[in-house]
Amino acid sequence: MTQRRVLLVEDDADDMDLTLFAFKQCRFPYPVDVARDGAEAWELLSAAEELPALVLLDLNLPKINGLEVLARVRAQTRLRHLLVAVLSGSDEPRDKKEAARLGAVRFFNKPVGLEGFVEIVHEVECLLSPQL
Amino acid sequence: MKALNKAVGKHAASRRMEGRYSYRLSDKFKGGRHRSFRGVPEFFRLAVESLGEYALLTMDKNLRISSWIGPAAAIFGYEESEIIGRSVSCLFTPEDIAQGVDTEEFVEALKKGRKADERWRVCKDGRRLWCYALSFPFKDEKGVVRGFVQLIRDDTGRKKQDDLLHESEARLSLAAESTGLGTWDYDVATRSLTLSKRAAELFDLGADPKAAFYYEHFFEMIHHEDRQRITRQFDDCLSHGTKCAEEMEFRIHLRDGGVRWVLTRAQAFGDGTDRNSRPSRIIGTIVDITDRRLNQQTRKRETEELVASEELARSNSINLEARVWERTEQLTVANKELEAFNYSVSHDLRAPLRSIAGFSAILRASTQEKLDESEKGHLRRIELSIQKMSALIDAMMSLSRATVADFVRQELDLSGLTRAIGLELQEDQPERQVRLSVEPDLKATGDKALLEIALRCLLDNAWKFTARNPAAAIEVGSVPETAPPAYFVRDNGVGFEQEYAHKMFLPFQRLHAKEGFAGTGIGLTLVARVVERHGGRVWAESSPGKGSTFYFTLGGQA
Repeated sequence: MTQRRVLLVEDDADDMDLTLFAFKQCRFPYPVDVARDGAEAWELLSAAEELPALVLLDLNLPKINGLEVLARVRAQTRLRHLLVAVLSGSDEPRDKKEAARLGAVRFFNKPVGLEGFVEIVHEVECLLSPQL
Repeated sequence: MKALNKAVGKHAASRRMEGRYSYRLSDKFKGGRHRSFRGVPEFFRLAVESLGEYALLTMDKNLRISSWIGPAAAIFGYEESEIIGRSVSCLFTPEDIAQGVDTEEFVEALKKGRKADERWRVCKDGRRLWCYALSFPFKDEKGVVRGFVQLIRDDTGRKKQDDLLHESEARLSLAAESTGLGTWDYDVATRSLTLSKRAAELFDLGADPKAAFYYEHFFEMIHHEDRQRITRQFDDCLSHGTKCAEEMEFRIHLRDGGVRWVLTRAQAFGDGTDRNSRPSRIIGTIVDITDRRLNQQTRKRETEELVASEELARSNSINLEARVWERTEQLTVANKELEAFNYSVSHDLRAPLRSIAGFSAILRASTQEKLDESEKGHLRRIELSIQKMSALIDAMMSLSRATVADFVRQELDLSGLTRAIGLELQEDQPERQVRLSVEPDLKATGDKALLEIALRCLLDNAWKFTARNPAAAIEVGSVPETAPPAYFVRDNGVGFEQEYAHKMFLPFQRLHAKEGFAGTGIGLTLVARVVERHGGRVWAESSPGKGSTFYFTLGGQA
């Protein structure tokens, strides 16, 4: 059985590092792949033989924004059931609503402070644990 | 009487000259009994009857009444039997008798052959009658004066009418002249105008107002600008028959080159046969209205100026309103843009703050053993500042959101919302003992998300400022019978000085030291913003130590 993986889609280097630091600090049990923008994420997902167990998706992304990526995922039979959680700097109700409509399992607001990131990582781990 | 006798004597000398006349008279009375007509032949009875309202008297040359015929008895009240043989003077007034008028009348009749006369006469009962009398000398076949014949008619009724007419004319003319009103009378047949003295003055006819004044003259005097109009009006009056009553205002050229404004009211009169007939006369009044016209013109000019200035003011005010509206729109747009900008700035500020916070935490973790206490203190200060800044950014974002967020007005259960917030507050601070009483069934129409923010702020404050009161109580309710409904959040906390109440709703204003009560200083601004978006009003009442009450309304159904 292949290793379950997580795809982190994040364009901001600091946020990327902080998130990854939180994963590391939590001793997150799954490998984390990264994509730096929406287009890259979409290419990875379209081409992947093995789908990630979860995508942690930023919304404000270059090229193809997060919600668009999510919409494309839901439009593809192969990807339709992919587990996606949003991690966004925005907590716009409009974005939240749209993400929920497109089947995002969680909407995390990027926190100020490392503890916040750690908490999110814990929650992500919880999202994945029933599958273990 | 002497005068009469003398006259009678004189008359005898010239009797031949009047022979024909005397003959005819004598012919009529031929063969009759002169003292009375009683028993005269049918011819005379009919002749007398045909005199109608005229009484016929005869007198001898001493003016003693010798016959009393026709309506004489009816007029004067004397029966024939009473009056025959009495002097005719008994029919004269004492004043006339004193002046010898009673004989004078007959002297004149002798001299001229007849005498017509109108005067007061006296009845048997003393009543006075205004009588018309026609007297003739009465001669025999030889032309000798034998006495007099007199025809008398009672004109008292007519006299009264005439008097009344004269009186009213006099009154009218007095009234007319005293008000400066002139009168004129236009005779259609002769095309001539008769003017009263005042009318002649108004037409500026000068020294000879009696000069012939014809239709054409009249129109020549009218100001050339008015002439056509007045001619038309006058002709209208002529052609519309006696129903016509016209009012004409026009100018008259004066001899000194000036102009006089006059108003004339004309009434056409027919000959009485037909109301629709062409009038035979037009009678009018004329009055000088130069002053009035000048005043009118002044007033008109003033009115026009006033209207113009009012219009200017109105258009200015419309412009002003439009400009205010435009500015308001611009401001609204600008405010929204500003809030959107605020939002995006706050949002963007959070990203670097996340980095600072995150990496300083990493730094702290990685340097835990290497740093001394003061270095660790510096890191702590950085972290505190990060928290503060984060709170400020959150506050700014919620403020922006309260301004730009979508607004959906709906029916809300304010009681339920309040209790839910109260529970959250209690959960956050389970150690606090606060009695929260909420008016049941508190309803409001508004945007749920925004009102929740506002209520949370108000309750948060109440919660916070009652912290030092061991018997803290918060009451939420509505003020009875207010329209639109006013709601309140009341606490028994520290309160504040009423004079600073207005400052509380400005962003980042604090009435209490930060050390005492934590907060971003944005809460009440947020409340104000929310209430404002509902078209409502927020105000506060308080005094230090007595708690505070915050009131708000949510406007109408806008």
